[in-house]
Amino acid sequence: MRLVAERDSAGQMPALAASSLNLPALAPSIWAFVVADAASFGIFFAVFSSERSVQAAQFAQSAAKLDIRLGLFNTLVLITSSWLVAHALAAARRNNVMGARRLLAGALGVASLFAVCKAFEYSTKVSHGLTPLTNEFFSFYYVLTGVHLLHYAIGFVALLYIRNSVLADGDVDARKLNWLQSGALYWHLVDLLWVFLFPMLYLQRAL
Amino acid sequence: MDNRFRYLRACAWGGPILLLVTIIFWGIFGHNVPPFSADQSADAIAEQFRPLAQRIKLGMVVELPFSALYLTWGVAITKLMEEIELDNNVLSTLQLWGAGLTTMIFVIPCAGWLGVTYRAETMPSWALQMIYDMWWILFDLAYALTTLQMIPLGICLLSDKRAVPLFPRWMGWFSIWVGLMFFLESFMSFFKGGPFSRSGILNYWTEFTLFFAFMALVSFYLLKAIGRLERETRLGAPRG
Repeated sequence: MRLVAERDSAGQMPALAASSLNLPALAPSIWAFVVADAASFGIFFAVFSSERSVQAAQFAQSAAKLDIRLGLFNTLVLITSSWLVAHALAAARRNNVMGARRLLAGALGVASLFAVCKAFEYSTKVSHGLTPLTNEFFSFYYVLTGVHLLHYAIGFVALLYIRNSVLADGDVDARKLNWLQSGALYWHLVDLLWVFLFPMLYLQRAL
Repeated sequence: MDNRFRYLRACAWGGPILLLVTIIFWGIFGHNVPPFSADQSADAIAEQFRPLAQRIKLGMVVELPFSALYLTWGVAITKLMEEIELDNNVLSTLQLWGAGLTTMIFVIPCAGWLGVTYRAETMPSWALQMIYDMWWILFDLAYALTTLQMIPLGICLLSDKRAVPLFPRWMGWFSIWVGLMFFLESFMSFFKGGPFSRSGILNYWTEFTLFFAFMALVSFYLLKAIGRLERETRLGAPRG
C-alpha cells in the first residue's frame, strides 16, 4: 500500500500526487458499524411504524405539535455539514491538509447549530408539558431523537479529534485518510438517519 | 515449560458455558423469556409468580454460582488484549473491570429474584412486585458497566497491527456498537409497557439478543485466537 506521496528532490510533489494522492480505495472497517447501526435504526423505524398503524390519530395529532421549520432547519444544517465533510475528504485526497482542516472546522461550526436547535426544541417542548411520558408518539420522539443526538455527539467529537489531532501536521498518509474516511462515513450516517427521522416524526400530518 | 497461555483456554470457555446456563436457568427456568410485563398490577404479577416460585428458585440457584464464569471469560479476553496492546494496558484493564463489575450485575439481581421466591407465598403482592421491579431496574440500567467492557475491547481490536488481526476488524466495531446500543436501556425506567419497557421488543428482545450474540461471537473468536497464539508460540514466532 502506498502510504505517502513522495516528494521529488526539489521538494515538489510529483505531478500526479500533487493533484491527487492516488491512494488505493480503502474500505474502512467502520462500514461494519455503519451497517449494524443503520440496521438497528431500521428496527426502530419498523417498531415506530407498527405502533403508528395502531394509533394513527394520536401520532398525527402529536406530530402536529412539532415545529416543521426547526426540523427542516436541522436537516439543512446536517446536509450542509456533511457536504463540507465530503469536501474536506476530497481536499485530504489532494494532500491539502490546511484545506481539509478549514473545511472540517466549517463542518463542525455548521453542525453545532444542530445541537443549539435541538436544545431549544427540547426545552420548548418540555415547557409546554410535552415529555417522553405524554404519550406513545412523544416517547418515540424523545428516544429516537435522543439516540440520534448521542450519535451526533460522538460524531462531533470524532471529527474534532480528526481535525485537531490526526490532521494536526505533516502530509496525508493512508492512516490519516482512513481516519478521515471513517469519520466522514460516520457523519454521513448521522445525516442519513436524520433525513429519515425528519419526515417520519415531523411530517406525520402530511403523510 | 514456559507457557504464557496456560489456563487461558479454560477461562475462555467460561463465556460459552455461562451463556448456555444463562439461557436455560436464568431465562427458561427463571421465567425471563420474557420477564413479567411491568404494565400489570402487583396482584396480577404475584398470581403468576407464586406458582412458578420453585422453578424460578432453581433457575437462580444455578445461575448464581455460574455467574462467576463471566469474570474468568473477562480474564481470558484481557490476556488476549495484552497481546495486541502496544504502549500500555489501559484498555485491557478497563475491559477487566467492566467484566468484573458485569459479573456483579449477574450476581446481585439473581440473588434479589431468589429473595422473592424465598417467601413468595406469604409476601404481600406489592412487596413482591417492588423487589422484582427493583432488580430488573438494576439489571438493565447498570448497562454502562458492560459498556465499559465492550468499548475498550472494540478499540483494542481495531488497533491490532497484525497483517491478519487476532479478531476480524468488524468484531471491534460490533463490540463498540453493542456497547453503545445499551444506551437504549436508559429509557426502560420510564416505561411499563411498549417497546422500551423491560419486556419490550427493543429493550428486551433486541438488547438481550445483541448481548448474547456478543458473548457468543467474542467466545468463538477468542478461542480461535488462543489456538493461533499457541501455534505461533510453538513455532517461535515473535510476540505481536
